[in-house]
Amino acid sequence: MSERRNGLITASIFFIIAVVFFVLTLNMTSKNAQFPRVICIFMALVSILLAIKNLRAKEEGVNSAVKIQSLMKALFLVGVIFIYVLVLEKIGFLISTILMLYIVSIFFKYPKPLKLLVISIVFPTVLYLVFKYLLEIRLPAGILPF
Amino acid sequence: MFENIALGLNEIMSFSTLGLMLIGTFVGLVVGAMPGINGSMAMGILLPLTFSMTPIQGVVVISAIYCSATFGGSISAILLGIPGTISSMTTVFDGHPMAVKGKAGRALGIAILSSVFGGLFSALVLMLMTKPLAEQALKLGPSAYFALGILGLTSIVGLGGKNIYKGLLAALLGLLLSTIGIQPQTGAQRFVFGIHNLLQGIPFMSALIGLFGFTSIIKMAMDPLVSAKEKEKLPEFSNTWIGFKTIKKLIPSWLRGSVIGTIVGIIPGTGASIATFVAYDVEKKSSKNPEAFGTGVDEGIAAPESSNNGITGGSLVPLLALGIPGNSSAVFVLSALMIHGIRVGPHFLNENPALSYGLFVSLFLVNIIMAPMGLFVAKYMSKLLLLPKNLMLGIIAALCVLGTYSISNNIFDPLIALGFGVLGYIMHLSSIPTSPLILGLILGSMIESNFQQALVISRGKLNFLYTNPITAAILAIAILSLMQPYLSRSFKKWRSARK
Repeated sequence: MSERRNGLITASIFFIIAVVFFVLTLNMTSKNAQFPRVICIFMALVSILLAIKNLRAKEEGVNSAVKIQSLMKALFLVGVIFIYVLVLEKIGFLISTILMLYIVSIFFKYPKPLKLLVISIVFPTVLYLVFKYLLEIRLPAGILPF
Repeated sequence: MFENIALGLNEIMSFSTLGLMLIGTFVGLVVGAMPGINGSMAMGILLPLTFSMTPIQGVVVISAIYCSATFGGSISAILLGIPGTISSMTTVFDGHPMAVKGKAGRALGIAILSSVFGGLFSALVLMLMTKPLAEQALKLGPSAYFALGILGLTSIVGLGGKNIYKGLLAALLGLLLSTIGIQPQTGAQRFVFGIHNLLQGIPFMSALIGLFGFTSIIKMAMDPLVSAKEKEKLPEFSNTWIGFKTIKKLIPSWLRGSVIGTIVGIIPGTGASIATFVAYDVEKKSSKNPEAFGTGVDEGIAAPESSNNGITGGSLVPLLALGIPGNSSAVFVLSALMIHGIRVGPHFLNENPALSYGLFVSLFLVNIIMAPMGLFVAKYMSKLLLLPKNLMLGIIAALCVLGTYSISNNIFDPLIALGFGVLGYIMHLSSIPTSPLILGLILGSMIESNFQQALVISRGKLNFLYTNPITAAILAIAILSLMQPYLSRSFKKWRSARK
């Protein structure tokens, strides 16, 4: 993606955010709407300025494009963390963290599966104990009895 | 003054507080030294833990990490040629060549003493300047406070970033997000979309952990993961003592670097990278043989190293005196106080003398214990690099989730953090800076409430923006700070035209 296109996309996204939030303020009382409206107006103005600046600029210097493959890696990581958070309370901190740690590290090619298994079990257990006894913060136990 | 120092000493003199200080310093050094992980991330992850500590323990841990991570970054800058944190970018210029020449010990020795000097200098300035500044700030009315909030935002945009428009958009987005939740004055709900958890607004801690923790592991996941083969290149070192003669020679450089670092730190919004570059540049210009810079000269390490630690104390001055964090690292110190319901601003010093002087005294201590600890961490630098990135991803993810979850025992917080992590990564891809977003999110409610109070005082008229001299002056500086890149460009043109 060139820098110019990047700027234009950024400008349009922020313009849309500004318009959407401005519309949302329409059913507020004037005292509540005042501050967000001013922000939206400024945001719309600045995004127009950014768009103008980029329209006038020449298409040059191709920005290093993000490879689809590495984007998939990032998406996988975010997806796993998302599921991890969702199941955290249901199956408990210990089991969910052990699974998450193992899956993420295997996916990112940690070379020694057996060593990894030990780390994946020891690390969450230590954390759990530290939180429970040292910091006195209870983490979700989930399906485990402790 | 001395009474207060004694009070502060008394506050921190407990086994657990001092122990936490040691742990914080060590953690900061280690994460600072590891390329790819930085102090902000460690502060973010550990922030929720400070909730179960006393207020003084919380700020001591966070500020210990802040100070020592700045120095930790220099260890990898010197030994590897890779800055561990942005603030040690300039240290690579002379630190690494000196290490390659077989004088790694000397480079580390200079870096340590310079950092300690800069850190102590800025802690002293912090202790001396905060009170007078806060006393002046007490005289300011809501309109001036509103203007100060704006100045905090515009200076982080104008001085910190390359693209003013993108920085401004980030700041405005932060302000807009800060309006989510219940409006404090009227009690009305804004932009809540029926989500019960949003009534209290965006959980600030989750936003921080998302932007610093999750964003960095997403970045790490995108990079090709290389196992640390760099350790073979690590230069050996033994003697780090540089001798009194060298120390005497370096004192002027340290003074220059510390002054530059502290001043830049005090100006809200300026990052450490600016200070180190300016300090390096000044040092080069005042040197008798500037052409030797970049090949491994003592002053080339001393100046940036004293300036980046000069930042640390400096950036806390506006935070403690005005409630405006000097940079995004100071935001963590602010959060460590906010977590305990302590308000920062001109009243802070008077209301919390023990806490504030405890913080000052602990900064002195941290900067001193950092020296021997730093050498220890440098010895084991090669072991640190052995920590595989592919394992770190999962561990950091677990710590981020754990930290955000424990804030309110609710999965809403980690989800918000993950959302901010993705947002931070998208912003990184579009080269939009994230620190204006954070500052906007923090300063939003302060700007809004002061603006409305000022409006009430001026009976609904906007003329307070220009009739009140202090407000008008601060706003003028704010506008100038936005135009700073243009001004300096035209100044350079004007100067080269004159030549």
